[in-house]
Amino acid sequence: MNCSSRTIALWISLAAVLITNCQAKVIRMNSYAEGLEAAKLNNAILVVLVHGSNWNTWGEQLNTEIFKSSAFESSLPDATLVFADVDILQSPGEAEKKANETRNRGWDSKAVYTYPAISVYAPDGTLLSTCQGSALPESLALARSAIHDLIALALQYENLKKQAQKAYADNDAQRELQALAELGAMPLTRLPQLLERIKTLDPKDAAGHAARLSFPRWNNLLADITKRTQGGQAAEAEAELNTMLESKAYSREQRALLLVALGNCHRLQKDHQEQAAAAFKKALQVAPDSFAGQMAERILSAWYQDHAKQSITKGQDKHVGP
Amino acid sequence: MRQGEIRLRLDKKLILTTLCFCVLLASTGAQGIAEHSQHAMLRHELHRLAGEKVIQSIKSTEQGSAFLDALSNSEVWLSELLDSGPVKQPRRILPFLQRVWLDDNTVCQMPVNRSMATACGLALGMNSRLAEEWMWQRYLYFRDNWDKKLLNTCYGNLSTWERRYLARGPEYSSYSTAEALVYLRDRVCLPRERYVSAHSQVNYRSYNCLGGDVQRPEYYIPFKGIFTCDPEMAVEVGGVCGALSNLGAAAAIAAGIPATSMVEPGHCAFAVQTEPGKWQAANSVSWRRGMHSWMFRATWPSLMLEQACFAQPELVRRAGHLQRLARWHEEQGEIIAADKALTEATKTQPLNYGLWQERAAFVLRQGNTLDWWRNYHNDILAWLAPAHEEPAWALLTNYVYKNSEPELNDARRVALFLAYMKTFSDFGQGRWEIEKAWSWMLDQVKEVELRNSLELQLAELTIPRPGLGAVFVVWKKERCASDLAAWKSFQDWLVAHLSKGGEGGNIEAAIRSLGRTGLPAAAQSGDLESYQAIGQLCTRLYKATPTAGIVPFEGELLTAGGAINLSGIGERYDTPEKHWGVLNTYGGALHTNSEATPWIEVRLGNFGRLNGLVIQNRAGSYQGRADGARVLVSLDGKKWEQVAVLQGGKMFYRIDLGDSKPQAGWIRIERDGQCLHFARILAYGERTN
Repeated sequence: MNCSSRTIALWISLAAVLITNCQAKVIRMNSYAEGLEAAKLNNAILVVLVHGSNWNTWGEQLNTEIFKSSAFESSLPDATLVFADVDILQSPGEAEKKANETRNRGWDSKAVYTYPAISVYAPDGTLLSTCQGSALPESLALARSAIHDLIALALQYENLKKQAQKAYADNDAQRELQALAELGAMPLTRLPQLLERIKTLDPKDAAGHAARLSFPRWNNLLADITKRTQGGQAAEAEAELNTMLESKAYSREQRALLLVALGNCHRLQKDHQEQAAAAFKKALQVAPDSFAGQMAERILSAWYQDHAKQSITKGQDKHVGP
Repeated sequence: MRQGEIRLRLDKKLILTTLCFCVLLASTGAQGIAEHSQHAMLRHELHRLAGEKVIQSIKSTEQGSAFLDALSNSEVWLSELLDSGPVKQPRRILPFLQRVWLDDNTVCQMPVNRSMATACGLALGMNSRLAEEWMWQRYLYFRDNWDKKLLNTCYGNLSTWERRYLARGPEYSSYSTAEALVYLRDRVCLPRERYVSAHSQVNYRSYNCLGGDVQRPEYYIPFKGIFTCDPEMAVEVGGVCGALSNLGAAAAIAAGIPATSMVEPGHCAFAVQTEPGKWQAANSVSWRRGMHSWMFRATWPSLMLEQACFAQPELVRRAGHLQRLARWHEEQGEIIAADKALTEATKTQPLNYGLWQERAAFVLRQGNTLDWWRNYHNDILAWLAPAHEEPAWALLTNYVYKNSEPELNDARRVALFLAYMKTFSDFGQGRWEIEKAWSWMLDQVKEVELRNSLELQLAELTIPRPGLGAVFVVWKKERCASDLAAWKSFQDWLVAHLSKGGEGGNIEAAIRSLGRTGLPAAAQSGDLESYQAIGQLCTRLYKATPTAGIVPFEGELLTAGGAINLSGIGERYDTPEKHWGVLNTYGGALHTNSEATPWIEVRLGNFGRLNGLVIQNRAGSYQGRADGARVLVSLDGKKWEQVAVLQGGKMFYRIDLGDSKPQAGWIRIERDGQCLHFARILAYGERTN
C-alpha cells in the first residue's frame, strides 16, 4: 500500500486526538483537502478560515487571535471539529502561486465574495454556510461571537439531521417533519430533497412548512410576477398571489412582499391603478418596517401620491480631477 | 551632501541630471544657490500660490499661524503638497489641511495620514463641486480604517499623487460616501489584482424586478433609501455598466487601492492600479476612454504618463525645485534664468506634463519667438514623444503649431509633422485616436501636392509598424469612402510599396502581409475596431467555411467583434490573416505552437452571460489533438474559471452553458502537450454591456 506523507500526517493527528480525547476538540489540518479528509474520518464539522496572509491584516488577526487561539477553542461547544485554512495571496510570484494553488486544491471559491471569511462544512464536505462581510464584524469580540454562533448552528444542524434520520428509522412522521422543518428554516444549505420529503410527510401542508420554505427570494418573486404580467399572464399571476395571500403559512414580511408583487402586477396593467395603490397600501399596513413595506411606501410616495418624485443619484456630478 | 548623494547613486541618468543642475545653478549665480535651498523655495512657493489674502485669512483663524508654521517647517509635507500634481485653489486646500492639523497636530509626523490628508486637500482644490465636509468624512474613513488595519496593506505604500485617486472617488459620488465605503470595504474585500472583476458583484439588469427601465429614474425609486447606501442597492437590485463600473472602482478605493471610473462610447468602464505602477482597464470594451479622475488630461495615455512620471519621485522633486526656481527668477525679472531653469526642469523630468504646460505658459507671458518654440518643439520630440506620443501630440497642437503658425509655410508644416511621426515606432502607451491627428495634419496643409506627399509619407512611415499600419489602412479606407478610384490607387501604391520589401506583387500579398502583422498587433492592444476592419479586409484571401453542422445556441454571437490571441501567433502553421473568420460564422483558421501548454485566448466583442459555445475543429487529420483541451472563461482576461473540457477528437464541440450562464469577456482554450487548431470558436449569450 502506498502511504503518502499526507496520509501519515493525518493519522498522526488522529492518534493525537484519540490520546487526548476529552480535552482536544479541534483537529488542525494544514490544508483544505486534508481538513476535508479528517472531517470525513471523524464525522466532524470542518471549519475553514479563508484569509489573505500578505494583504489583509484583519484576516491575520482573526487567524492568530481567534482561529489559532486555545481560549477560543476551549469556548467552543463540546464536539470534535476540524480546522483548516485557505490562503488567498495577493500578486504571488509564479512558484508561490503554484505552491499555494496546490495547498488550496479542492476548495471552491464560489461561495466567498469577500475576505476574510469563515466557511463551515458538513462531515461529507457539503458547504453549510459562509460567514463573511458585515456578518463577520471587524471587532475581535463580535467576530469571535459570530464564528462561535456559526459553529454552534452547524452542530445543531448535524444534530437535527440525526434526529430526522432517527425519526425516519422509528417511523415517527411527526418528529421527522418537525426536525426537517427546523432544518429547512436554518440559514444553512438546505438538505437535498428536504422539501419533497416535507411534502410527502404533510401532503396538504397543514403546518405550512412547505409554503414557508418554498417562498422565493424577493427579487425572484417580483421578477417572476413582472415577467408573467408583461407576458400576458397577469390574471394567472394575480390569482396565484391571491391564493398565497389566503394561506396562513406566511409571515408578516412574506405577506407584505406578496402584496407588493400584487400591486406591481396591477401597476403594469392598464386601468388597474386603483387596485395597485390598494395593494401597496395594504403591504405598508401589514409590515411597515419590513423591506417590502418600505418598498411599498416609496412606490406610493413616488407614483400614487402628489409627493414630489424622489430624485435618484446616478452620479450626475461632473468630474474635474482627483 | 549633494556630492555624497551622487556617490551613492549609480544611476547614470541621475548623475547626468544632477550635473546639469549644478551647471544651471552656477549659471544662475552663486547667490541664488545659497539663498534658495529646496526648503526655502517650497516655503516661498506656498506663499506665492496661496497669496497674501489666503495666508492672512488663515492666520486670523484659531491657531492659524501655528498651522502655517507647522506646514512651512515641514519640508516633506510641503513637497508632498507641491510635488504631487497640479495644485489648484489653495483657498480650499489650506483650510482643509488646517482642519486636519487642528484635529490632530501630530499629523505632520504620521506619513500615511499626512499624505492622505494632503491628497484630500488637493482633490478638493481640483473640484469646486466637492464639499469640504464630504472630503473630511472621506479623510476620516481612510485614517480610521488604516488605524484599524482594515485597508489593503498596499495603502501604506502609496504616494500622495496615487492617494488623489482615492480622495476623488469614482464618477458617482453616492457610490463613494463614507457609508458606501464602509459597506464596500466589507462586501468587496479582495486581493488587489482581483478588483478588475469586482463589478461582477452587481447583476447586469436593464430592467429591475418591477419592470423599471434602467435608463429612467423608475429603476431605483422603489428602493432608494431602503439600503444603507447606493452600492448596496446596486448589488441587490442590479444595474448596468454605470452601476457596475462605479461599484468596481469604488470598491477598490474603499480598500485603499487607486482606481477611477472611465467613459467609453455608450459604455462605462473603470481602471484599477492592480500592482505598483500598473493600471488595468476593467469592464472595458473600447480603447476610446475618458478618465473620470485625472490630473492633467482625461486620456488613458495621459494616465500612463502620470504613472511613469511619479514613479520617479526624486526626479519629480528635483524638477519641481527647478520649476519653483524659475518662478522665483521670473518674479525677480530674471527672464533668461527663469527660462533656463524651466528648460532644465523639463529635461530633468520630461514626463511631467505640467512642466511642459508651464514652460509654454511662461513664453506666452513673455512674448512668442519662433526660436523659442523651435527649441520647445525639439525638446518635446527628444524627451517626451518617443515613449508618450499622445501627450506629446497634445502639447504640439495646443502650443507649438498654434503659436508658430503665422511663421510656417506648408513645406515647413509637413516637415514638422513628419518629424513628430518619426519619433516613435508604434503606439507607446496604448491605442489612441491618431487618425484624428493625421486628418488634422492634412487639413493644415493647403497645397494639394504637398498634402498628397504628406499622406504618402505618412503611409510609408506607418505601414511597416504593426499597430500603426493597420490603423492607417483602416483610416485611409474610411477617408476614401465611396471614392473607389482613390482606394484603388492606394492599394496599388501599397502593393508597389510592399513589393520593395519582398512581400509579393499583388494586392492579396499586401493584404496578407497587413493581416499577419496588423491583426496580432490590434488583438494585443485591444483595438477591436481595427481588428474588425483588417479582419474583414482579409476575408478576400480565403473562402467562407460551410456552416453545415453548426447548431447555434440562443442569444447573440458574442465572439463577433472580438479578437484572437494565441501562443506562437503567426508561427509556422498559423495564418493570422484568417483569425477574424474563426470568431464569426464566416469561419477561418488558427494554429497554436507546440509549447508545454498551448493556448488560445478570445477577447469577446461584448461582455456577456454565455449560453453556450460551438467549437469547430480543423477539417482533416489530427482532430484528436483537441481531446482533453480545457475551456475557461474570464471577466478580466487574468483570472480564469474552467467551464468545460473538450471530449474526443471530432469536428464540432457543442458546449451547453445554459445552467451556469457564466459571465465572460474572454474565453481561453488550453491543452497540455498538444497544439490546437480550430476553424471556428463561437460563443453565444446575452450581452451585458
